[in-house]
Amino acid sequence: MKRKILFLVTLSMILALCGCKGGKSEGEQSSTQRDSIVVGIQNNLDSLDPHVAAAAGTKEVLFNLFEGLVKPDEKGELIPAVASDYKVSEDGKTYTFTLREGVKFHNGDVVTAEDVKYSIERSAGMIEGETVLEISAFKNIESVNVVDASTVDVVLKAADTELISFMTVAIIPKNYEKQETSPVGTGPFKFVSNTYNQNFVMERFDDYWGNKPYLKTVTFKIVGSASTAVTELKSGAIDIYPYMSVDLANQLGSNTYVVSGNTNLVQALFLNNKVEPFNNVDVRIALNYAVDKQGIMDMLSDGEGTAIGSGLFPGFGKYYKDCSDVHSFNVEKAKEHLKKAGYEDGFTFTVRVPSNYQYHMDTALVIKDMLADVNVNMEIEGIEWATWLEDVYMGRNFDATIVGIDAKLAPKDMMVRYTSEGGKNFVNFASKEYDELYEKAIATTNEDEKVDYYHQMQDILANEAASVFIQDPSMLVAINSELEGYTFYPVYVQDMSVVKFKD
Amino acid sequence: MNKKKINFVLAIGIILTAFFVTIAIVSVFYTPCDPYDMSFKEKFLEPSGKHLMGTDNFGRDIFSRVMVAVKNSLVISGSAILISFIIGTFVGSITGYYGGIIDEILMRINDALASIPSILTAMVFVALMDKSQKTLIIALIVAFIPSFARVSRSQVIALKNRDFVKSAKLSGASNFRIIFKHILPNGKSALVTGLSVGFNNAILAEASLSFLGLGIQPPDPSIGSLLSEAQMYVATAPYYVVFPAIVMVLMVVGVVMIGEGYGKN
Repeated sequence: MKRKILFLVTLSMILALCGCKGGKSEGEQSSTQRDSIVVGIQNNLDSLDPHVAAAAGTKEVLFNLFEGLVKPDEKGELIPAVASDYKVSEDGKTYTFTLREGVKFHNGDVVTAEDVKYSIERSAGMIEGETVLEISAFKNIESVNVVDASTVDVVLKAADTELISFMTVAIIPKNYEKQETSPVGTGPFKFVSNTYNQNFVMERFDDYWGNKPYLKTVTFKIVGSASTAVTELKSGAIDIYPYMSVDLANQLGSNTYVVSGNTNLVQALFLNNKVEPFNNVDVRIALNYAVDKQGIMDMLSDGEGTAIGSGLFPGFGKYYKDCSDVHSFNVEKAKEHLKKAGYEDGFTFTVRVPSNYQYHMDTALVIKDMLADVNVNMEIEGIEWATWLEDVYMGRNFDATIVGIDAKLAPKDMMVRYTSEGGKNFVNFASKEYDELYEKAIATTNEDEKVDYYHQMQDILANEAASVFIQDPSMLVAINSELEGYTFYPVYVQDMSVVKFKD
Repeated sequence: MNKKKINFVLAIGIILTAFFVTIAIVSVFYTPCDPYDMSFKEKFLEPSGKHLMGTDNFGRDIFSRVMVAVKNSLVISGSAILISFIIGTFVGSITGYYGGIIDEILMRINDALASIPSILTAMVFVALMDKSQKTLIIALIVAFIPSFARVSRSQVIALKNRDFVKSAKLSGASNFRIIFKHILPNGKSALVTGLSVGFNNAILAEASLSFLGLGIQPPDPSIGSLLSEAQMYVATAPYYVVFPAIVMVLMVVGVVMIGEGYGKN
């Protein structure tokens, strides 16, 4: 009898265990309907505060968390976001924004006109005691006025028809102190966590006013190098990696596919116009002649990419002027200009490249090889990204550097980089004519004139060889085959709200 | 004449090492192709008569680059190890001979240094200074001094109370003479073994640092940087990683065999 009981007990236990196991495997199955993905990125975010962040690699992530009064769509048009509508007064000096009803911050509060006023004033540097990366276009703001609960007026000192492009600046809650550690915005995703050197996690914001994201959780994982990314894509540890090279993309398995588009960056060998020998225009021109842009693309991206010769990339549409032929590759002419500048025997300079950007490092190697043909010796120094930001970009302590720079949808945002007094003019380019054209370009309300001014400015940058403008690189994005919907924008962003798993 | 047994281990070690030293010397005057010349038409060519080890992602000849890499690796690890051997042995034997408070202080510093993995010490140095060949050599020197100091110190301590030392003392030889003429030559085999172990550790340390991007800066090749560049293309161009890896293994094996063989003599 005892034995029988024991047997029964044992049997029931075994059955119970089986039951557990069965139940568990069922649970696993249902969870295979994934709703979270991991996206590989190259760097730590330099700041979580959208008004402080400077790096393109940060802004592409924060795009998911924050919105401005307007935001760019995939065609490059500005569509209403936090504002449902806006009007510009006839003299071009007053912008009136009507706020969309019931837009909520991630903390549950409704966006008020005061928040909008605060956000614009903060990013304009008008609020004392707040350290932000001031938007230079906002220097023109006379005042921001709350008209009523859902209307905000932005009054300018001088007319500026491009100002609306800068109204993509993030709207954040007034008097919220913890933007740096736990950011709050109005975007389709809300912040979960940020772990230094590990990842940045965000989650679907269920009270989002617009189309809600398909994915529940998106993790941006910092991947050391593109080759690590290949391994992680193969193993499924990451689902999307936007910075593939052609050679590496060839190694990907069948569980991923690759799409290509424009990066919307100006990649250039930026020359510090203030240091010897780059203060000599002939030297800069010589370098332009010596660098074979097509050669770089052939070597690094199977010929993909768009060669540029001046400060804008083709994504700027009518404002863009193709100047890539101004100093097209010609070793003889390069030597002539070097001779003219008194550097017949060449010279040596150091290029400081952020070493985590494999593409820029590779570009440096190819350019070094090209410059050797005109007796110019380019030493390559790979540096940390943080060092680059602080020392090269902010401190302007460099001979030359290779990076890609991004811009908001306004040509002004890019062109201001070359105005003599511009805070972003890290190449120290100085041209009076250019400055005057710039003033005219932002002041005019006539669209054709504006286009003309910008074209002239690009001519100046090209003719005076402000730097060696190389290309708008092609962007290869490796994507898990189970995903669809990845969308390219004419600005440098990673929009995760449109990505979804295939049915 | 005594028939001396041929020491195969030593012989192979010497042959291997001599082979790589020869390659290093030749690479200064001649490489089959320009190791820096890029050509996108010649990207990822498989090994052939023209390119013995194939070409890399920039269309550069891997064989030529390996030759220069061998030179760079040997120059860096060789010079670093020689200097740290001299300094380490000097410090170690002096403190071992005199003992006392100086011995205590120096050896505790030594222990502190030795307790940190040498590759870490080297990384700190490279991080503090600029990334150049010189820095790399200095970093390796600092990292490898402790091991030599310890080897020579223990040899000196073991030998300093032997009779031949005493008799040398009685005959009025100076302390320096005793240490360097009488004691150290008797600890030769331990020192040579230590030197060979140190040398191959240095080769590997240099490779690791370059692999991590802290050593030689591109486009100059070193075995480590070649491996680090090649690892991206393991799947599509396996020869790119295989050849430098084989070369590194053989270099290390050669040096190790010299040490082993010498110990057996």
